[in-house]
Amino acid sequence: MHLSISSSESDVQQHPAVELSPLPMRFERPIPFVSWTRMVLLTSYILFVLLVAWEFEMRRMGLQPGDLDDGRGYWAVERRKVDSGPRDSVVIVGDSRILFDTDLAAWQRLTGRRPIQLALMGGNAQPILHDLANDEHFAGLLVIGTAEFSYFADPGPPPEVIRYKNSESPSQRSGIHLYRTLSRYCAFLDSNYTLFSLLGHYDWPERNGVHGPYMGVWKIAESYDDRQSYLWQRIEHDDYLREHARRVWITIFTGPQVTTGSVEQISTRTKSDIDRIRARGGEVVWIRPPSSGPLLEIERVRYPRQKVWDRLLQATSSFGIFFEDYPAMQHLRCPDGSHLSKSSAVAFTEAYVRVLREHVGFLRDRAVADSTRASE
Amino acid sequence: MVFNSLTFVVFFAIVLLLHNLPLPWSVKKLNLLIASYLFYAAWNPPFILLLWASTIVDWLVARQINRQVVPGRRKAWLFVSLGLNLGFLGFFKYGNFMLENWQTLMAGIGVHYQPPKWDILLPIGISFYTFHSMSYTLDVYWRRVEPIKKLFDFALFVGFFTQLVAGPILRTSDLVPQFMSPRTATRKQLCWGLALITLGLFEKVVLADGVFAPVADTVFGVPFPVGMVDAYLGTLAFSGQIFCDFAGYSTVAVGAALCLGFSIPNNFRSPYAAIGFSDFWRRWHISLSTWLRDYLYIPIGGNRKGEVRTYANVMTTMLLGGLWHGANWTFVIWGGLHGIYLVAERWLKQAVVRWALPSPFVKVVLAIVTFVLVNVTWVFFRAKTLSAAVTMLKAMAGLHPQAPAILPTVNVLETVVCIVGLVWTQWYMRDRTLEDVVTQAPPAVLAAAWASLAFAVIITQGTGDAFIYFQF
Repeated sequence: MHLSISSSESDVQQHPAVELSPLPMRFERPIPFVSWTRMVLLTSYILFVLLVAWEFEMRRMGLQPGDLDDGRGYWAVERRKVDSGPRDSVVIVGDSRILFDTDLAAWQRLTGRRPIQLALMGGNAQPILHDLANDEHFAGLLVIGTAEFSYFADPGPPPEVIRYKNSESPSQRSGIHLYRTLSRYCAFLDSNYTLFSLLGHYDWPERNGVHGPYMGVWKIAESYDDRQSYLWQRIEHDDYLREHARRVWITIFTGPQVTTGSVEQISTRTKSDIDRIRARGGEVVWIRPPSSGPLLEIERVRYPRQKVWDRLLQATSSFGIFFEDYPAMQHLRCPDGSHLSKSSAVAFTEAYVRVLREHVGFLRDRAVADSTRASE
Repeated sequence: MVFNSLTFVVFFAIVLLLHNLPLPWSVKKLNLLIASYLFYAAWNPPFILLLWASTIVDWLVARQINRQVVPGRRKAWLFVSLGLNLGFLGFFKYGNFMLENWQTLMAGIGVHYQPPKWDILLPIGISFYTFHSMSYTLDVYWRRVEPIKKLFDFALFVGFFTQLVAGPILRTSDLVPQFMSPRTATRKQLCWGLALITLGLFEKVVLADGVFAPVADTVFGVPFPVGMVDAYLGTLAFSGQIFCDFAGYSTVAVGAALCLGFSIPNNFRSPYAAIGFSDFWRRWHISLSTWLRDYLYIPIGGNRKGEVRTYANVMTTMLLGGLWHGANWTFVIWGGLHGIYLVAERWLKQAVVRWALPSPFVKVVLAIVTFVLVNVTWVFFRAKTLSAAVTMLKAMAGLHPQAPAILPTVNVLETVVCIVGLVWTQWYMRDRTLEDVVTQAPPAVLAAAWASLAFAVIITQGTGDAFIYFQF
């Protein structure tokens, strides 16, 4: 700090009665001497050209205006719908598979109810289930979509989305709305295609043991209102991106078989949360969306069905849909081995909702009640 | 509300529009005050009450101090103001820290006390507006300024949104005289203000958040020792992050105020080109260092009471300056190290070498030494615990040769390029002002540079994360 060499302090020493340095003098900021009108016009022109060129390039790369991106802000918007909507809402939690493989419009068409989508890319459903179990307002149907890989992983600390939802500031909330509005017109507004994300798409040589962003998850989703998300269409058509996604999934999913102890521990914890929802009149069902190829083979080895899926349903006394059990859910297009294409997502949703309607009393009862209300 | 957010863009456009309407000056000031409170409340509305309490009490107390003639009564009123401001600061910022240390102290003498955990949320910018406000009552007490007649003007001084939550820490003499007569920006001021806002956002969004933060967060976030290369890169990255984050905020604050017609002084002047530590502190967070000089160091004696007392005063000031940054011993050590550097430099200047006008080569060497030693202090500033800081310093000393590499090549390249660029730019700007450089640059180059900075900000698409100094 200006502690030992201050000229102002020297002044003070000459006036011991005032033991203080003088206050700063009022000043006017200097302005550079340039032709500002020309400067602003030229800058605006260059910026405009750069942005238009960037927008064209991003659209050429497959980004589309109206793809709203996804993020914690949008999740918080949906989570608040659980609290502000009817107690018997339909809520979906889970990972990217149930997120991309569910068509909300198909759900609504078949049941009259539009589900609230709370699944998270790369997310573990356990903490979200726990959050909803703690929410006394929620007494609806909870659909848990699982890739065993994510559900039987260590959930760690509460996910960022829950902390964000509880602490979201008014300015953050308005920022989400502004971003969503701009995203309807600007394709380049995509968190996966920022300046520094693109640098990570180059296959730089790495030091031993370092995993760079090249082997990370790149853009795989397109997202719309109500967090309706699908597998990004470019993954279906672009061999390079599809192959990259497949390689990444196989790298991530490879590992040792899940232990019985871990399955039991997680099932017990899950049952406790489910019991609380059921005690309020709610219901919980499970969906295992499709995967295919080498990835499915890895999953079969790491998470044997009897040991994991069947045990989970048994421990939680729940109804569940495993895609391999239903002909209508097989032979769907799974371009990256882990997620369905958009058209297959619609077909899968229709198939699993029909099964749920048939087997889950909660949906049947609500359907009757809804039609009675409508006829009245 | 943070500057690097879409909400601020809309907010600022509305404020600018209102400020340029043909309205009476009092109405324009009212607009600014309301806007400032909205700016603050947009983060957490209830904490606006603290800001109001601090404002009202300090304005009333300053009038009482000025009215009293009996020294004891003047002092009593001063203590009311200091008590309130430091009380708020102590409770919200240091409550848990004091409780934890009390607990440790008691445990040390065999009393095991387990208090309930306080869940205290730190009000954004409390350290800044508390210092704004305290400087006023102290100045009135020392009869350096007359009390401000209208609460309205004082409220606008404390709450003015450009510098409310992260400085620069202004004095009443910086701003209040500017409130006395109508001010709107000239066309030149508006353009230069917008250019400064662009530059500040580039520093924050592109450099601090885009380049440096991921590297610093990775290196300081892993629970195991990292290798020597990664330790240096992480520390250099944090050094770049903290500068670009805070200088970026200050530059946006200066630019935003200028767009409204107000002049706010610079808060940074190429600190990484400093030659020595007193030079560093003339260039880093200038408003805080002058505040501590004027309201702490000089009142406790400064350099007027002998050499040993001067060293003690420097250390006291720097330790408290460190603590001001956060409730953690790591910040105290950060301040202590800077205190030791300043003391050592003062002693060296007086006892060992003739400091005046070293050769250019020696200047460069001294600047490098200063930069390296400043980086050592940043390790304590960034590390969450003392043991984490020590582990990092050991890694930098090569004491963890088996530690794994963790930083991807792209991050390594970004960090090296940007740190070299940053330090080179600061060295070039060391004895120049930005205004001079801009005046002398060819217009086409300037326009291309301005557009490129804005373009980089837009396509980096910042996450809207808060500035680091918001937490202080």
